[in-house]
Amino acid sequence: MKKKERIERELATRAVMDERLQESEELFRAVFEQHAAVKLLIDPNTGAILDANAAAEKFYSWSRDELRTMRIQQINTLPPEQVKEEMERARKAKKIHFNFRHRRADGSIRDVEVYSSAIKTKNREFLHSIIHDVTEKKILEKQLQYLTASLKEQVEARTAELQKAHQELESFVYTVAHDLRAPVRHISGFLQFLRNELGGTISEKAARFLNNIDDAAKHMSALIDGLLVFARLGKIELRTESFDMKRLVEEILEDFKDDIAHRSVVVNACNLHVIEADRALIRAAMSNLIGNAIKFSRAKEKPEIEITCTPSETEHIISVRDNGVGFDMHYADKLFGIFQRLHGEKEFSGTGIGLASVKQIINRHGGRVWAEGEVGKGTCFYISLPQKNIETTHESFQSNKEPNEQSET
Amino acid sequence: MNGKKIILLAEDSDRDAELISMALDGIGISVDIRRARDGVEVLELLHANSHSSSHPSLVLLDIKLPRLHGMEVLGKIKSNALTKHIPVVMFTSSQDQKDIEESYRLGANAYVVKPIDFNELFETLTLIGKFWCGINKNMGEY
Repeated sequence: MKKKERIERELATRAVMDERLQESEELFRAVFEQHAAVKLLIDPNTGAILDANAAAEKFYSWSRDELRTMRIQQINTLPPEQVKEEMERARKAKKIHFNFRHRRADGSIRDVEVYSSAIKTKNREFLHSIIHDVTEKKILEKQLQYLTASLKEQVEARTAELQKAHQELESFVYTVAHDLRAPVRHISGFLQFLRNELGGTISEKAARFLNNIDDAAKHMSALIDGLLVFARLGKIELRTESFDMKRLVEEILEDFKDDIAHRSVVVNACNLHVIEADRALIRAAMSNLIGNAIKFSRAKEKPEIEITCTPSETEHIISVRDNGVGFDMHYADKLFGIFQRLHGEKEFSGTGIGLASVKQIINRHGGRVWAEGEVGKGTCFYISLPQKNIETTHESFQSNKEPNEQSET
Repeated sequence: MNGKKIILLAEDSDRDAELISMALDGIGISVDIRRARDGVEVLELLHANSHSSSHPSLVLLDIKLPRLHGMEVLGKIKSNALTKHIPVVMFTSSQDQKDIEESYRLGANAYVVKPIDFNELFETLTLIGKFWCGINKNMGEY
């Protein structure tokens, strides 16, 4: 009795277990079979397709029975040896994600991404592969690549065109300025001879007219010279070297020593370092700024000029400050334009090319120029040079930046 | 020889030629100015007077010349045994570095950019005239 009961109980338990096992098997079968992803079960040794799901039937257009007689080598477009190598990688779990091209029953080829993992049972090994069709994605990617490349090409072509136009314009300016020299020389020369011819016989009015012509010719000649210098700045090659900014400023102050002494200008130059740039060009730029500072502060009772350098992490900022007539910040962006003048000819002489040249010089070095000012209080001009161009006395900053030929405007 | 120094002025612009001539007249040295309007004429004038006694003391040579470019004229003067001793001063409005280098390479004795301002022009020509056609004849030879 007891034995019978035990057997019955055992049988019942087994039935439950069988049922559970069956349920579990059905579940896993369904996971493989019913999932929308294309799945194959492959023998990693031979490449034989052991099983395929409904999605695979639909994707490849081969029936499951047909697929079961096939090898993956018939589907994968890679040469059979390579397919074998890849299967070996998947088996050893060295790689689980692959990009392949798969052939379908109708002969069409699709780009696929394959996730393949080795599955081991007691006696056998399988590769469980999930195949994802990425053909459309690949096409889009290619289109995107093509568009990006053609956009890049267009931008490059347009930039080259603009650069060419810019260069042409610069040489045009140069040629025009150059050709203007001869007529100005003739005016100025023949005027001189006319004066000699007329001798002292002319009226005061006629003498004034002659003077006006002479002044106009001189002014035109200064404008042309300035224009030539400006146009040349755009084309000359930079000759970069290390030099002491302090020495350079001292040299410039020496050039202006008569003006400085005559107007008792107090000049304070401090904190100037060794920098790396085109010395001759920086000298021209600094000379211009210092000359301006002297010129525009001459009316002050105690003209003061301060020249200093402030290093930052990316650039060195050199400033020239005066306590002169200043300017309305409203016109700040006009300051560096060619032939722009904020003050009347009578008040302060000049051609309106100096600051444009300063800007051109600093731009060539990849730096920036700007100014701050207040009417009646003074002006401060700033030029910045990229850090790479500067060697500070303390440890220099690391910078891998290439020197920028043309900065943003 | 007979006092007057000859300056050969190679200049296609009439106005420049007149200005330069008048300026040279004013520098206080007695000079005889012969004008050539183009490159070929320069060589013709030089070879017509092949006796070295009638050679000019100086050639003032413009670069942009019709018919034969100033550089070619310079090359021909300086490569000919009969004329290479004649001092040639390039007198041009070109400030092109290439022109300057090329001129000296071909044997120019000096390269002077024509000043715009007449006073400067006059001063420059005075210096050139006195240097090449001045009292010390030997100064001008090389």
